Amino acid sequence: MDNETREVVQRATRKILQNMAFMFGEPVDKDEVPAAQGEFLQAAMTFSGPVFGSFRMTMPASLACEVAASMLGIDTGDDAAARHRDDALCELTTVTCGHILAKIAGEGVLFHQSIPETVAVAPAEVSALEWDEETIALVVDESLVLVHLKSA
Amino acid sequence: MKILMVDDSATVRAMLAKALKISGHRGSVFQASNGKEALEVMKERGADLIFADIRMPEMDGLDMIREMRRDQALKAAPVIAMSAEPEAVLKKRLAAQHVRAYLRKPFTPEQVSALLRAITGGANG
Repeated sequence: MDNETREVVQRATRKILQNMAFMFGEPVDKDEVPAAQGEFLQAAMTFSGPVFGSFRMTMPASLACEVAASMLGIDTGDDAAARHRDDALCELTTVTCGHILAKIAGEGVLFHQSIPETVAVAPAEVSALEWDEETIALVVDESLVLVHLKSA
Repeated sequence: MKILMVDDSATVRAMLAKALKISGHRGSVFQASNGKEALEVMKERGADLIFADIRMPEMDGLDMIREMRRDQALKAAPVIAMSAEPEAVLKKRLAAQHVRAYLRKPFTPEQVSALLRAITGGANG
């Protein structure tokens, strides 16, 4: 990912997190990334159009619950937050991807985007992902959020 | 006024329901998680306004609107198309489908209120 694209991905992710979940993401350098601990959740999707590729958003499952709670306007401890966590992460991912593609390719360009799906990710896989050149890292409420865009 | 929310995300449907409540909507609100389900709900219960996501599994919003426009009983119902895509892209996708308005995600309750007022002329029951 070139620097210009990294900037677009970072800015769009921070903006969507703020608008959808009222959360603030701070960019973090690879050598300052907090250690991945506990259960992580990843939403992944593909896109095709003038460019094609994949987009993934990875965060601790506990943060995904917070995202869901914030989107729904309920307490994090509410059962509904846990029930909605995968769905909320998928929605956050698809909206963020839509906004990034519009910034990269232009506002009038058509893309086909797949429906995102979530998978559990082990901390070791998260650590490997951190060092991927196609990944940017943010810290949100002291938790690590990784955003991965690969396009061709 | 009967409003139908169509989105595969239960979270978005819950957010939209809350926004409609904040907007002062006091009528019935129905839900569907894809276009196929939505068509069934429309036929069974009717709908005066439909908020429809465009990208959904099984039957997407675009196919749902095409089906509605072919059905005499459903063709006149106004649709607000929702997507993370820019309005320019949605207009291309939905050309000639007579979509009433576009709501880009993420949306705010204020945007939902403004759309509802514009479409109902303030008669929002």
